[in-house]
Amino acid sequence: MASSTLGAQAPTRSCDIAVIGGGLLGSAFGWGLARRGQVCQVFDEGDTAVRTARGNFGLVWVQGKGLGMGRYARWSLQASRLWRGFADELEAATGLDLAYSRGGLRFAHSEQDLQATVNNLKQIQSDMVEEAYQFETLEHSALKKRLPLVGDIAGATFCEHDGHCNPLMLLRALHQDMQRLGATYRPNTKVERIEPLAGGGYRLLDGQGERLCEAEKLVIAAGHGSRALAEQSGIELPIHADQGQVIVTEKVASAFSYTSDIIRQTDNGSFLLGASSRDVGMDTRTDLSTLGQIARECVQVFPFLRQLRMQRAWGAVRVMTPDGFPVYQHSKSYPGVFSFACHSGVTLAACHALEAAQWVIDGAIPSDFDDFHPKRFHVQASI
Amino acid sequence: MIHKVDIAIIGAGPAGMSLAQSLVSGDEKTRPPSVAVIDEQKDGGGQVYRAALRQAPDLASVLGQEYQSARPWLQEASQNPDIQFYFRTSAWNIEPREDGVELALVSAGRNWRLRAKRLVLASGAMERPTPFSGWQTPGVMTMGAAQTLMKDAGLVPDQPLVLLGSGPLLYLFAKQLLQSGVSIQAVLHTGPRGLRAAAWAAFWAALPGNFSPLGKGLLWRMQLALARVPQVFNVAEVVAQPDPQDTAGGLGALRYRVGGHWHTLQTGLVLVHDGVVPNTHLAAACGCSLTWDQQQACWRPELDETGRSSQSQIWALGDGARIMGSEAARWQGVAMAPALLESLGYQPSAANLARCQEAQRRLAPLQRLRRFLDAQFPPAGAFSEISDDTQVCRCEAISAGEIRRIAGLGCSGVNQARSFTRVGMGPCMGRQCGASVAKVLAGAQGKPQSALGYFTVRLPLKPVTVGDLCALEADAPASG
Repeated sequence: MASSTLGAQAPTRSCDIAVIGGGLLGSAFGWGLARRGQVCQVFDEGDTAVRTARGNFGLVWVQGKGLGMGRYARWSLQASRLWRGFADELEAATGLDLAYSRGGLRFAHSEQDLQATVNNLKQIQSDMVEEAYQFETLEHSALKKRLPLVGDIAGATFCEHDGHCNPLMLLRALHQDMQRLGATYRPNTKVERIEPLAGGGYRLLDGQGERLCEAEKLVIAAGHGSRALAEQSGIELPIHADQGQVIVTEKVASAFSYTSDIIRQTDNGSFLLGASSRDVGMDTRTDLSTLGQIARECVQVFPFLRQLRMQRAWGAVRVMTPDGFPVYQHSKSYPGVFSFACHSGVTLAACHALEAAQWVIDGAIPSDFDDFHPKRFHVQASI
Repeated sequence: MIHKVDIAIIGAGPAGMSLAQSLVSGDEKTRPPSVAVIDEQKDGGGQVYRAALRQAPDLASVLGQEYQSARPWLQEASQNPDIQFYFRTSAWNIEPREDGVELALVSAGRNWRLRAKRLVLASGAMERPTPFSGWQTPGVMTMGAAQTLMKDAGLVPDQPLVLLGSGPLLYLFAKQLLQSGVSIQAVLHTGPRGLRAAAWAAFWAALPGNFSPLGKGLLWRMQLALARVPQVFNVAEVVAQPDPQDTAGGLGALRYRVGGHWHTLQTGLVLVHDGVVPNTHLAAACGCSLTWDQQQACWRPELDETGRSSQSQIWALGDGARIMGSEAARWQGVAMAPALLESLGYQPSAANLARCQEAQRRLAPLQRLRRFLDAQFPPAGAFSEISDDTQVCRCEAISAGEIRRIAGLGCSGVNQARSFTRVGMGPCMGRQCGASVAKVLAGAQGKPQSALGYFTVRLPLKPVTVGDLCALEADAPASG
C-alpha cells in the first residue's frame, strides 16, 4: 500500500491536483484523479467534522430527480448506468462489499400523492426527450401483489434504475483505493486559505498560515466547509444546510428486497427509515417530534415495522442548493480551481469519479453542463 | 401530557439519593423545589449499595459493614414524601431545551415524558473494559457482574474460580467470596505485590484521616494471604482458551505471561476487573463537553467547581463525574445542593449551607485517598497492549487487527473508525469498546489516546420500538 501521511506533520509538497474535502464528493474525485495517474492530495477535517458522507441514507436514486432541469435528470440516469461497473471496480480492488442492488419504489400514501408523482415523472420524461427512462405505476392491489407486507397506502411508482448501497463501505473503499493508487490522504488538516502563485498554480494554507501544499489545480468539494474557500477563489456557492434524520432498527431477516426513498433494508438486516427535511442550520441532533413523524409515515407503508426495536437514530446535514440541483463551477479569476456541490453524493459518486475527474484534468467543465453553473440563480432573480 | 419538575436526578445511588434529600430538606418556611429521582433498579442504592434496602441479614454481613451502614440513610431518603421516585424507569432520550431538558422515559413498557429545569446526572461508574485475547469466551466474566449477582440474588459461583486484574474491588470481592465459601484457585494480579514506587508519597499523604479505609484494605490483603490462595503478581499478558471438550465453547484454561515466561492454569471461570471509570454515556448524549482525565485514564464530563456542565441546565456528580468512591459521592450530593438551589432562584437555608461546609471538609481526605488509589492501581498493561486477535467490539465482533488496518488509511478518530468498520454500532452503542478502539488507533498512529476522541452518542439510550416512537404522548405513571 502507498504510504499515507497522517495529520499536520505532513510536509509541504507539491502535487498536480489538491482536493479539499474527504467526504463522498472529495473522495470520488480523489479516486478518479489518482486512477487517471494524477498526483493528488486529499485534505480532510477531523473526526467530528460535520460529515454528510457518514449520515447518508445510501440511495443511488434517479426517480423524480431533475424535475425542471433535464440535464440533472440525465446526469442521475448516467450515474445509475455507471454504478454497477464503478462498484465492481472498487470491490475488486479493495475486497470490500458495497452491497449495491437495484429496483426502487416511491410510496404514495394517497391517490393525489400518487397522481402527483406520476405527473412529475411524465414531465421529466418529456424534458429528457429520447433519453427518458421508464417507470411503472403500481396501484394498491398491484403493489400488494409484489409486496404482501405493505399497509393501507394508495400505491407506488417503481423504477429499475433506482438502487441502494452501503455508503459507509463506499467511503471506505474510495479512501482505501485512492491511497493504493498513490493519492495522499491528509486528515485533521483544515485548509483555510488559497493563494495564487506567480508562475501558475496555488498554495494552500491552514488557519495558522502554515503552508500545506502547492498544486497546479484545486477541487473544492468540502460540503459546508466549501463556501469560504470558494469565495476566496471568486466562486459563488449558494448552499445551505438541510437537516435529515434517520432511524435504524435492529437486524431482522430479509423482508424488503427493493429499496425506496424512505425505507430500505441494509445488507446486514437493519431497516433504515428516513427522509425528513428540516431547516435548522448545522444542527445534527435528533428530535423526537421529527423521529415520531418518520416512524408514523413508515409504519403506514409497512405496519410490521412497529414491532422492530430501534437501534439508533442520527441527524445529518445535507448540502442543499436553492433549487436542489448541483452547482458545478470553474473559477474565471482563478483558472484551474473547480468547485462541486450537491446533495446526491452517493448517486453521483460514479459520475464524479469516472467522468467529472477528467474535466478537472482537461481544465474545463464541458459546456453541456452550463445548467449546473450558479449563474442560473441570477437569471431567476432578475425576472 | 408532559410531567414537569424543577430538578430531575438520574441515578438513585449514593450521589443522587443524598442530593435529592439535601434539596428538599431546607428551610421549612419556603416550599421545597419539586425533585424527581429516576433509576432503572427497583429501589435506591445504586450499584454499590444494590439491594441494601431489602438484603437478607446473613448476606448483608458478608457484603460488609459499610454496605450495611448505608441502609438507614437510604431508607430515610427513600421515604421522604417530598421526593418523587421513578424506579424501573429508563431515560431513552434527553433533549436539552432553552429552559431545561425534556426526558423521554419508559417505565414498565409505558412511555412518558418529563420536563425539568435542571437535570443532574448521577449515573455512577462502569467497569473499565478489559480486552484480551479470548475474553468473549463463556466463563470469562467481570467481577462487577458477579458481585451484582451476589447482591441481587444471593448467587455465588459453585465452581472454583480465578480472579484476574487489579483494584480495591478485587481484594474486597476476594474477601466476600472466601467468606461465602467459594474456592478461589488463584489470584492473578496485573500489578506488583507491594506498593508501586509512584504510590508511596500519595500513601503517606492519604494516611491522615483515612486510617479506616487503608486499614481495611490491608486486612483484606492479609485475609487473602491467610487463606493460602495462590497469588501471582505482574501478569503482563493473558489469553483465554476454550475447553476443546466443551461443545458450548466454554473456558478451559487461562494462559498468562509473567516476564518472559508463559504459564497455563486450567479453569472454567475467571472474574476480571481493572478498576472503574465514569459512565459518561448520558453526559455525551446531552452534548456536554467531556475532558480527558490523565490521572484516571478516562473521559469525564467537564464541570465547574459547583458541578455544572458545559450545558448550563445539566449538572453531574458522583462517580459519573469522576471516580471518587461511594462515600465521596454521598458528600458531593450534600455539597452540590446550595449551588443548584441558587441556580433556580432559591435562597439556600442556613442549615443547608452548614451541611455543605461539613461536606467539603469530609471530601478533602477522600480526595487524598483517591490520589493514592489512582497511583497504586493504574490501568493494567495486560489489557492495554491489545493483540490483533482480540475482539475490541464484542457486539459486532471487530478485532483490534481490523482497527489497525484502517488506522493505516489515516482514520482520524473513533467516529471515522465506526463508519468504516461498524465498531461500536451494536446494542451497547460503543459504551464498552470506545476506549479500546481509541487505544488501538492511538497506538497504531503514535498519538495520545485522548486525541482519538469518543463516540458521538446516538439516540435511543435504551431500546425502544418504532411503535413507541409512533405514539409518544402518554401520561406519567404515579411516582413511588
